[in-house]
Amino acid sequence: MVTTSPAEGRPSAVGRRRRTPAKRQRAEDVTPEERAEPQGSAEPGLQLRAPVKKSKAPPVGRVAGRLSSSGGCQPMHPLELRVFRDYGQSWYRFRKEREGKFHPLDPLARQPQVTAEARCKLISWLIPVHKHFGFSFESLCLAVNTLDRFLTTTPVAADCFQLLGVTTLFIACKQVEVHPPKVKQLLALCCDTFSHQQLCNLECIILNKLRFNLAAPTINFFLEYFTYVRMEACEADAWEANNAKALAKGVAELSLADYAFNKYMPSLLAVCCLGLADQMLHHQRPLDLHLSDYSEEILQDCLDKLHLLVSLNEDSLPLVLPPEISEQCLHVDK
Amino acid sequence: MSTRNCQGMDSVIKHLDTIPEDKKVRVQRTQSTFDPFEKPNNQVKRVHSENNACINFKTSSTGKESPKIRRHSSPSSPTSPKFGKADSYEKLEKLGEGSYATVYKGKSKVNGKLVALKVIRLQEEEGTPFTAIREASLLKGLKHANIVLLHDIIHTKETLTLVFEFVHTDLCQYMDKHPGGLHPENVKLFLFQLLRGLSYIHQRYILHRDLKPQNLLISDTGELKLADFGLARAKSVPSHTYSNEVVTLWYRPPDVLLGSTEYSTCLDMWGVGCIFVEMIQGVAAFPGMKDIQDQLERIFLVLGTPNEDTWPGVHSLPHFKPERFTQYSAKNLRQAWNKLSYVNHAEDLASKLLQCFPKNRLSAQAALSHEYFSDLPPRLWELTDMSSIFSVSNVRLHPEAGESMKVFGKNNIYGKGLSNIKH
Repeated sequence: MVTTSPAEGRPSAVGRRRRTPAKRQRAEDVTPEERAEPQGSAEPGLQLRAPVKKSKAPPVGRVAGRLSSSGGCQPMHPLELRVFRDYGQSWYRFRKEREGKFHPLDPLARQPQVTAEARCKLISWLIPVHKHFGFSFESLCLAVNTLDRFLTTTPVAADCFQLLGVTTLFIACKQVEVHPPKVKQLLALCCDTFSHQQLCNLECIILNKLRFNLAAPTINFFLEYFTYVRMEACEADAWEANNAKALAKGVAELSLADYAFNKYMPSLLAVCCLGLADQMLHHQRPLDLHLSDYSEEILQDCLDKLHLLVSLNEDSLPLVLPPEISEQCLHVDK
Repeated sequence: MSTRNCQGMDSVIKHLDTIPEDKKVRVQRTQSTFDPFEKPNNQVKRVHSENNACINFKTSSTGKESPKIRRHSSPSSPTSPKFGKADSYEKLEKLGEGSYATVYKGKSKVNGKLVALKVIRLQEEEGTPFTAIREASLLKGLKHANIVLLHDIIHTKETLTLVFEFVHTDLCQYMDKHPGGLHPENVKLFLFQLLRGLSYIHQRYILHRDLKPQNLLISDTGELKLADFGLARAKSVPSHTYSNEVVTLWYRPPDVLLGSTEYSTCLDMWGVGCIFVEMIQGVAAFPGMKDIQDQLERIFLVLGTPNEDTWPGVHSLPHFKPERFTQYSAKNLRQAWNKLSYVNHAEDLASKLLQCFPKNRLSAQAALSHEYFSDLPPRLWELTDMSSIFSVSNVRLHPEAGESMKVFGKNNIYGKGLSNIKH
């Protein structure tokens, strides 16, 4: 079945270095057919039909530039670099120490109705939803972590699983977004299947069950951290580092939706997503994955699975990437 | 194929009409063969045929009017709190009222300890306030002698109560009580503790974002504790989306006043500089009276109006209009605040904190190693997180001017209660 398809020509993952000058491959190198899809998604904000209930709240959904910022390749601001220099190491140590504590163990094991497939469907839906609002990748990561940890505590009926999804997104946004969504907007997203009271009640239940332990370390943080480490290395190529980060974010989004990746820690997923991105973009100076302190075996296992995921999702990946990145990487693995 | 699969009417997930077909993402899962968690029944088929995997939404809910929420077989409901019983604390007098919470003094019925009860009204409209979620979730991970300790969270249908250790005053009240500047040794101890607390949270990827004397609690022994994390948040990078409406004007750094949203840990360090000057001099460093413009004028009057040489990039900040500001030259800080010159190295430390250009501001960690603190006992730098600086011998609060042994006047009653509740 599907599993078998990507095997051919899969590179040995760690430390593969291609010398091909594929870097800076531009649109001219791609046939029109190949281009069609990523270009169609170039300006996501402009294609949105009637925004949810025309709220006065942040019009982010309509600002195309904002949308791409969640997955885009912004260079790191000098101030960020300076602060990373002061604190990056301790941030990393602290988050790495805590990620185990926040790691949901087999959240679907005791769920009578929620399946891996339903979870995949829900998160596949949350991905465009969070982009529609212009929320950060950090919010999505937090939402999925809250969702999974809640699932370890409480059996959830299939027909309120979507409500759980928007409620965890709601909580995540309250943690990190300047303008969290309105309850009304979230209810509209679910075609007004649920009531205001239901959403607020579920919010209380989640907060109670998780005892307000919400500040989980995220893949997003580790992507930023490893990118910073790479920029600081003397041979850094900022262009490569930023592109790898943007592609890795897209791959990481896909991995959130696949329950098979639930067992991997965020730091491992982050470093492997970057490693895979470097391979796909044929970078000359890829990230040294051993910075992460994971063994070769563990890294390779995770990389292989990510590779499989990416080849299964060739259609979806461009949708979660900034257009310039998807142009570059879309077909390199074929 | 992938995007098409997900729009069937029978889907559990209601689809968003506002997301165009070509933006919908349908992630194909990798096979479950390597997934030890999967139940073996029929999972393998599902990568391409998910319709049979989902419980039909329409059929499962038709005819059932009962709220879906009841379907959680959760033993706890919002009305029966799982942790922290509402009746385990006795509410005493009101201590203060904020925009979203009321703070009461309270007493534990279990052990008689005094606590501060921050009662947050759960507004109907948007559920639990984001400030409460941030404060509770961030403080849960923080255990430090200079951070206010969160004992408990009580969640009922109408209110959310955060139960904190009781600390009887704050730096604002303390300075009101002792006008004209604090005892220089006490300033040093307070500043040291403030920096210790900040260094701890900054190392944990958290910004306070609302430093001001009211948010620095002072115990009867002189312990300083950072409080009110309602605006704090775990720093996520890149931080382009920070609201520029966070810090009380007097303690707000010029970069934020000029519209920068690129701020970071150095945001808090400006506030430290302001509070330092205020403790020494006895008056706020930059007590702007009107608006942002006035606040900036006050800052530039002392530190000099910035230009591209002193502050690279200042011209590109949203609100920087050179013609709107009088050109001032930088002065020695002692000209503005004469008491800085009475204490060795105080002026130097203040000037390294009060830097208009954010990148030049000293970090909390670096400030702790400043010469200003060099006459403190070396053991203060070796303390574990939860140890108070007053656990080091000979470190104690000095009586303020005009103060005899009656250090805290009417508050002495609470002081006695306090001494047994520490940590």
